[in-house]
Amino acid sequence: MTLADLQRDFVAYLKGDGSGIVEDVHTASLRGLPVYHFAYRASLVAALRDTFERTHAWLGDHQFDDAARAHIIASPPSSWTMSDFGLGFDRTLDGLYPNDPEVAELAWLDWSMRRAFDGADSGTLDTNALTDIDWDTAQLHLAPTLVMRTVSTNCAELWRALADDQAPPPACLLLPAPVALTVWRQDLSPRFLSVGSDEHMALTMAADGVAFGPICEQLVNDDRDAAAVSALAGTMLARWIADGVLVGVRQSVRRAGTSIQRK
Amino acid sequence: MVTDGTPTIARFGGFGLGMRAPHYPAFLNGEPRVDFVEVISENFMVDGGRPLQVIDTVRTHYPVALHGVSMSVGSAHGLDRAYLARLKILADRIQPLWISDHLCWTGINGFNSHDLLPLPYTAEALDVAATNIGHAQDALGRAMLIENPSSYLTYAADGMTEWEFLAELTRRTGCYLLLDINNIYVSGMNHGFDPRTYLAAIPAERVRQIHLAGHSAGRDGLLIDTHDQPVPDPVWQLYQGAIGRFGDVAVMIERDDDIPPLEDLLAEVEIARSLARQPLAA
Repeated sequence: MTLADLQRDFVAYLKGDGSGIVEDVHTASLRGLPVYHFAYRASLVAALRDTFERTHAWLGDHQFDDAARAHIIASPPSSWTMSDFGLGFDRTLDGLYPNDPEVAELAWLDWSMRRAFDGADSGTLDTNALTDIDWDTAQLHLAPTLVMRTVSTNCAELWRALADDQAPPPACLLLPAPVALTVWRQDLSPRFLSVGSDEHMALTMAADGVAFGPICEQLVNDDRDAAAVSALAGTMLARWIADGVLVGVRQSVRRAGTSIQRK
Repeated sequence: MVTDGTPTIARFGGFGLGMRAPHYPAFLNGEPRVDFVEVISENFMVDGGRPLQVIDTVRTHYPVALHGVSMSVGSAHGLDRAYLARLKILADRIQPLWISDHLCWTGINGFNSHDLLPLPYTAEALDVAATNIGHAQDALGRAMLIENPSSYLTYAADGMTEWEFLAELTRRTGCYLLLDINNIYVSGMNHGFDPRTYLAAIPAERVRQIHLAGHSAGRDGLLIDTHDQPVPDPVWQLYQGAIGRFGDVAVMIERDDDIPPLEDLLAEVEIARSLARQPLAA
């Protein structure tokens, strides 16, 4: 029996996939083996409770812990950091609660807020350098922690209510139409916001590296002429700057082989 | 055998505390009167945000020791290079007193249990741990401290004691030791050895830090290293003997769960400081 064999048997035991390790443990100390079996699950369940605090509050101990144990089986931990173990827990919950979409949406929000907490820092936007920008060709740098998704329920309202454990959360409601949630960190504080479909589209295009001019072209429609688009774009830009969503503007101007970048 | 050129770690005599989240505000202000703090490395091996602001600010007030739980020096398949790279970035940033981790393995083949799993004390495991520690020390550019774990089982293949394993490990790699007195007591009670025998066999010149903590009684008569209790009398007594032998080392109260008010932990730090002035013959 090599060390690798022993460790493989031990892992199988922890996962509930085998008991070969029993042969390797000194007979007099076999009573210690279940300590590791228990601790493996308990620490992971505790980690998920910590990361998915609002989802835990919504589901309650019993249902949450059952879901956590299902996630341990479906997605055994592989990263060096336990912080990564929550990756995909929203999908696990989506599978367990297909008729309760707010559960997975709450979990996505919990996860995204936690990731934003210690995600990469943003640069500081120099607003003085924005005055001579050619916005048609400008590429927007968004906060590196920014993530977005559409939701079908009032999960944002639920999340805020669950953060205040003094008040009972409101009833779960399906929204008349899906809305987009954005999550990011401003300075040191994770934030989230519901945004309209136009803004969601604009942010998605900006995140994909599309210049601001083409983004604005997509905002034109039958009810919105160029002047209205300009006003809308200005409003969005001002809020993105104020909220720390827009953290840089890069402009590449090809004149006589020069390239200018502003951040 | 120790590789020529393996860096050394100077002795640091002082009394400190494991810094945990409920007490961050006090440490950010530099209020607690401790000589150093120890932090869990992985909590600060992040891309940005508040954790790095916390560690940077605390570092302006205190020397900081980095204590890891995920290196897995006993893994038969070697170390995670991405982990080592992250750890080095943090170490370069805060210039810690030292970096420590545990004599254990946490996973294999891309699986990580996030628990400190026991190694068999065999010649092969010694080769593996020595090789891995050597790689870690090379990657980090510094010698490490290795901590004795608490354990709840032993293996049929064990060919040496834990203290013999640790002593040989220091000889081969040049690593130093972080002795957790509570872990020695817990393992001693669970496996039927005298903790004083363990302490007497440790090469004193390699010890740089001592952990003091509490434990709980589990089922089947086992003691469990819960770190959720005050330091109990038997651990204080062992410490009083150990400090006489190991001398001027960093001593720390380690509390990981059921975190009490900071004042309670600082009172334990003062007990440790006081007992160090009255060492017992080991």
